[in-house]
Amino acid sequence: MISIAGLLYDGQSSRQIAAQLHLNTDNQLYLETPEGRSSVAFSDIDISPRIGNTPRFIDLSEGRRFETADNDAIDLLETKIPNSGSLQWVHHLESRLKYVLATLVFVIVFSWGFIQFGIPALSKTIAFILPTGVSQSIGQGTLELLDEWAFSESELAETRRQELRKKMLTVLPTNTGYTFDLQFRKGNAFGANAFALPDGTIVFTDEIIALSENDDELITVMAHEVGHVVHRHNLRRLVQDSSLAIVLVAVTGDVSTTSSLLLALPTLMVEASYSQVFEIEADSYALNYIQEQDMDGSHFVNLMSRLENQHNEDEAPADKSESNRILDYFSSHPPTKERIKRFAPES
Amino acid sequence: MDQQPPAASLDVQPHAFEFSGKSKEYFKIWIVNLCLTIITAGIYSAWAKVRNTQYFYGNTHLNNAVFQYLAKPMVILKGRLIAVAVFIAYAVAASYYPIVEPIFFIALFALAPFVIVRSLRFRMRNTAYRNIRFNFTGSYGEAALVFLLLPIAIPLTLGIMYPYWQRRSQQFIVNNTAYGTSNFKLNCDTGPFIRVFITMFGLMLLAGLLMVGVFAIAPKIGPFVTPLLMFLAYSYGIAYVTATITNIVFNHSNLNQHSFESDLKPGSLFKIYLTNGIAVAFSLGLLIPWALVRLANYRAQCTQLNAAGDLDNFIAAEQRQVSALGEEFGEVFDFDVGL
Repeated sequence: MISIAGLLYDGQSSRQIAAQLHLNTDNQLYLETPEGRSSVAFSDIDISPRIGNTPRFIDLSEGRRFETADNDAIDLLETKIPNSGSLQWVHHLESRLKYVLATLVFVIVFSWGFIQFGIPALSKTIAFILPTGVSQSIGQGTLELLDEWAFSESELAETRRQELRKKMLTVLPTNTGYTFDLQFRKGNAFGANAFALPDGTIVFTDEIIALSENDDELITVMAHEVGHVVHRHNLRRLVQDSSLAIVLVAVTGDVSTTSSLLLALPTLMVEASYSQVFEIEADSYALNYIQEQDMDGSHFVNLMSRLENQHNEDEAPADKSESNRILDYFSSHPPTKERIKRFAPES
Repeated sequence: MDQQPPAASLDVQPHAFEFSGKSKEYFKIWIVNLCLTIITAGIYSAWAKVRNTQYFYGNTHLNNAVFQYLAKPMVILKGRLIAVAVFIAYAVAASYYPIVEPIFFIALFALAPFVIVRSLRFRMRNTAYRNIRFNFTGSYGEAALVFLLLPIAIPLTLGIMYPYWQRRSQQFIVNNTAYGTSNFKLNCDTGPFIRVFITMFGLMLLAGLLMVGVFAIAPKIGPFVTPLLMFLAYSYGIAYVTATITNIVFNHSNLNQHSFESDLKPGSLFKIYLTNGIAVAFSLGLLIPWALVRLANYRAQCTQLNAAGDLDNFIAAEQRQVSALGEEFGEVFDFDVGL
C-alpha cells in the first residue's frame, strides 16, 4: 500500500486541487480528489525522472498532471510499475558517494589527459591535413604587423646580409611546399631573437647576429627555426589554442563573464606548456641537422648560453634558483640547461 | 481570451520566489553529467542539459508549486547534431576556400532573427508552471527589426539610440511571452533605460580617470594596477547593467492583474560574480556548481510576484511542439538572448 499526497492540475487551468495517489495491495492505482475516487491505468501514466530532491510530476490521461514532493514514495511506486523509472540509474549514480567520487576522478584524469595529450595530437593531425596554403594565408600580414609595432629596419650592411643569406639558406630542406625567406630586422623590444612565421619567413634580429661569435652559431639557430616551420608549429598552436578555448567553454558553460576572464590564468599556463613541447621538437630538428652535417653541437649551446646570460643580466640577479623553477612552468621555452644538455651531453 | 476582470478590489498578496537547490546535491548531478557526456562522446550532453535545467526549475518555488522543464532530450540532441554538422562543414569549407567565411557570416546574420525567435519559442514552450505552459509568439519580422535593423542604427546615432534599442528588445521578449492564454506586458518608456545608460557612461569615465590617476601618481605600479582596475570595472559594469535592467523589466511587467518586483543590488551581484569567478578559476572549474547555485539563490531571493487574487484562473493554450534547432543553433553559434 502506497499513498502519495500532492496537487492535481486538470490540464485546462492553473487551478490546484489537493489529491492523493494510492496503490493498493492488489497493485491497483487510484486517484483520490475531493470530488471522488477514480482508478488509473498503469499505461496512462508517465512519471518524471528523479532529479535530486526536486518535486516529481506524474502525467495522467487528458492532460492532467500530479505534482508531489514525496520522492521516496514515487521511487517505491516506480518499482511496482513495469517499464517505469527509465532514468533511475542516473539518479543512482548521482546519489551514491562512491560513484560520485569515481566520476570525479574520471573527469579529472580525462581532462588532464585530454589537455596534455589529446589536444596536441588532434592539432597535429589537423595541421598536417590542411594544405600549406592555409599556413601561407595565416602568415601573411604577420611580418607587416611586427614591422609596424616592434621591428625597425636592419642596420646590417648589404654585403653581410648577402653573405649570411648564402650560408643560412643551405640549411633549408627541399620539397616541403614552403617558400622560405630570410629577413633581417632590428629587434628593439624583442632584443636578440629569431622568429619563424607560418608562411616560412624566418626573421633574425640584428641583436642576435651581434651576439653570435661565428656564423655556424647562426646556422644552428636557423635549423631550429626551420624546425618550427616544417613541424607547422604556428598552425598547431592556432588549432590547440582554439580547441582549448572550446573545451573550456563546453565545460564551464555560462558561469559568468568574470569567471571566463579569470580562467585566462590556467589557460595561459597550459598554452605555455604546449610551447615548450614545440621548442623541444624544433631543437630535435636542429640536432638532427647538426649531426647530419657533422657540425659541432656546441655552437648552438654557446649562443643559447649567451642568450640566457643576457636575459639574466636584464632581470634582477637576486632570488633566482627557486623562483626560476616555478617560472619555468609559465615560460614558453624549456629551461635552457635542459636544452643545452641535449646538444652537448658530455658537458 | 483573457480572464474575467476582477469583480471587486482584490487583496494584493506578495509571493516570493524561492530557490531550494543545494550546491553539494547539484555538484553530484553536474559531475555525473560531465562524466557521462565524456563517455558517450557528447551524445549524453542533451540529457545532461535537460537534467541541469530540471534541477534549477524544479528548485524554483512560487506559491506552493515549482517550475517544470519539459524538453525532450532526443529533440535537443537532433538540434545539436544539425548545428554541429553545420559548424564542421563551415570550418572545413572555410579553411580550404576563404571566400566561404564572409558568405557564411552574412547568412548567419540574416538567419539571426529566425534563430532568436525559434530558440525563445523552444525555451518558453518547454517551461510550465502549474501544468500551464509558457509560449513565445514573436514574429520573425519584428525580430529582424529589433535585432538587425535597430542595432545598425545605434552606431549611426553615436550610441544615442542604445537605450531605446534596449527597451525595444526587452519589450519584444516580454510582450511576446505568454503564460497559457495570458500575455505578459512590459509597460515602460525609455526613461529608466536612459538613466542606466548615463550612469554606466559616468562609471566608465570614472574608471578611466582612476587609471590615468594611478599612472600619474605611481607610474611604476601602473602596469600592474591598471589591468586589475579594468577587470574590476568591467565586472562591476556587467553586474550593474544586469541588475538594473532586470529590475526595470520586472518592476514594469505584469501578467493580467498580477505584477512583479525585482530588487537586485548591483553591489551584491558584483560581489557574487567576483567571488564566483575567483572560486571557479582557482578550483579549475570544480566549484562551478556552487557558483551557479549561489547565483540562482540570490536572483530568486530578489524576485517576487504580487498576486491580485489567487493564481487559479490561467487557461492552457493549444500548442504544437517546436524543434530545438533554433535553440541549439543559437548555442553553438553563441547568440545571446534573454533577460
